[in-house]
Amino acid sequence: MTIQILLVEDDHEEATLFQEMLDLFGQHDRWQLHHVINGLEAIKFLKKETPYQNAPKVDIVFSDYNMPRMSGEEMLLDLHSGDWWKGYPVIVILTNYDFGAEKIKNLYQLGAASFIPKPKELSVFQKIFTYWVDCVELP
Amino acid sequence: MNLSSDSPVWKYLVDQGNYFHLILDRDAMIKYINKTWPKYTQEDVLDKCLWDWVSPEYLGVCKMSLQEVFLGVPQETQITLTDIDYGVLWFQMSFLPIRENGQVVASSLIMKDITTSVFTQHNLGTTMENLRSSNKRLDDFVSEVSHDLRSPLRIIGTYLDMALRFPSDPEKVTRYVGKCLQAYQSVDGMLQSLRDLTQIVTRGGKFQKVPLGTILTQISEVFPTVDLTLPEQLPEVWCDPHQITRVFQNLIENAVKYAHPDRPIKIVLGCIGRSESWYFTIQDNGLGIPQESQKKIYQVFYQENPNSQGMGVGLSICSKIVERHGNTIGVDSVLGKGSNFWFILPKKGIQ
Repeated sequence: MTIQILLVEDDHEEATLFQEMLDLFGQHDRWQLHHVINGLEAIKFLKKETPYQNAPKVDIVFSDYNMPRMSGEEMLLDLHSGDWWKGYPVIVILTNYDFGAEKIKNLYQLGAASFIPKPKELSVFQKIFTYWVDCVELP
Repeated sequence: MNLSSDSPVWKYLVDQGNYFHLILDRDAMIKYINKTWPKYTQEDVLDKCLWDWVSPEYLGVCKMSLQEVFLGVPQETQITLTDIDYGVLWFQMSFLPIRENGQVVASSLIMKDITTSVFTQHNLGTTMENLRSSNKRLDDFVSEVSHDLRSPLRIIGTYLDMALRFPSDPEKVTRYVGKCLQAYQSVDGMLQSLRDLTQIVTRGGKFQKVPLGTILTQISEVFPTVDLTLPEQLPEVWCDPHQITRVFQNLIENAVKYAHPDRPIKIVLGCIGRSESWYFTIQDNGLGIPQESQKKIYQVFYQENPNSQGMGVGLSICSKIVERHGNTIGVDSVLGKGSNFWFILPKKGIQ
C-alpha cells in the first residue's frame, strides 16, 4: 500500500526541500507526496472539496506551524471539531519556532501526533521519516 | 540678635523657599498667610476661602483633610490649584492641627509648590512609556526577522548535508548546491530589504513642499494600462518626495498584483483635507485581505499569499515611511471585494 503524505507548508523552498529529502530517502513505491500551502487548503484536500475532488485518502499530514490563512494549530482545531472525519490521519507538526511548554502541550491536546522542531540535519529527518513510514502502523 | 518667639527674625525663616504658610479656620477661611503670589495682595487673600483656588477634582479631598485635622489628625495630600494666569499648579499640602486648651481651633497649612517636579516626573513617565513600547517593537521585529532568516539558512545547511552524501555523484551535488544558491540569494535579498528598511529613517531625504499632482502624474505614467483615477484637486504636501512617491507606487503595484482574476483592476485615489492633515486613500476592486491578516501585512517578510512574487517588505516600507512623516497607514478591506488603503500626512511638516 502506498502511504499518502500531505505536506502543509507555506514556504515553497521548504516544500521543495521536503520533497528533495523524501526523494533522497528512496522507497518511492512506498509513498506519494501532496503539497498544499496552508491549513485552509489542507482541510479542503482532506475533505476532497474543490479543487481537490480527486485527492486520495491521506494517511499522514506533515504540517508547518506558522502559516497565513490558518496555522497548524487552527487546522488541528478545525479538523478535530468536525464529525465528517472517519479516516484519521496522523498529524505531525514541524516548526521553526521555539515554543513554550504550554504551547506544545496544547498542540498535543489538539491531536498532534508529534511535534518536531524542523531538523537542520538530514540524518535526524531521515529518522523521523523512517519512523513514520517504516515503523508505525498507520490507521 | 533677638531669637525670642515673638521676634520678627522668624519671619525670614518662614518666608524662605517655595513654601506658603497659612492658618485656616474650620471653613477654610485664610486667617493668616505669610506671603502671596505677586499678583495678589494680602487683602485679596485674607478671609477668603482657600477652596476658591483649588481645582474642582481635589475639592473633596481637601475638605475631608480639613475635617480630619479638626478631629486632631495631621493630613498630607497633593492637589492642584487652577489660576487664570499661572495655569495648573501642583502643591504638596501639609495640614497640622493647632490646639488651644486641648481643643483644635485652627489648622496650620504648609503648601509646597511641586509643579516642576511633577511635570518632570510626568515627562519622564511618558518618555519611559515610549521607550518601553519602542523596545517591545524592536524585540518583536528582531524575533520575526531572525525567524525568517533562519529558515533559508537551515535549508542551506540541509542541502549541503545532502550534497555531502554523494561526493562522487556530480549530478546530485550540482542539484543540491544549486538549491543552496537559491536559498542563499533569498537570504541576501532579505538582508538587502532590511537595509532598505532601516535606511528609510537613517538615510531619508529632506522634507520639502511638493505638489502632489506632479508626483501622481509621474506614477500614473508608470502604469499606462491600469484604470487609475486621480483626484481632481491635489494639494502641496510637506514630505520627502522620493519616499512619498514610493508609498503611492508600492500601494498601486500591490493593487495591480492582487487584482481579482474575474475583473479588470480599477484603482481610485482619494484625498481629503482635514484641519491638520491630509487623508489619502487608494481604493481597488481586487482580491481583498482577510480580516485576520489586516494587521499582519505590515510585518517584514509577511506574505499573505505564499505564491506571490516579492519578499513581503513593500508594505513594511510604506508603513515605515508614513511613520517617518509622523503618521499611520491602515486598510479597510473586504475579502473578494477589494481593499482601501489609507494613510495620513500632516499639513504642517515635521523634521
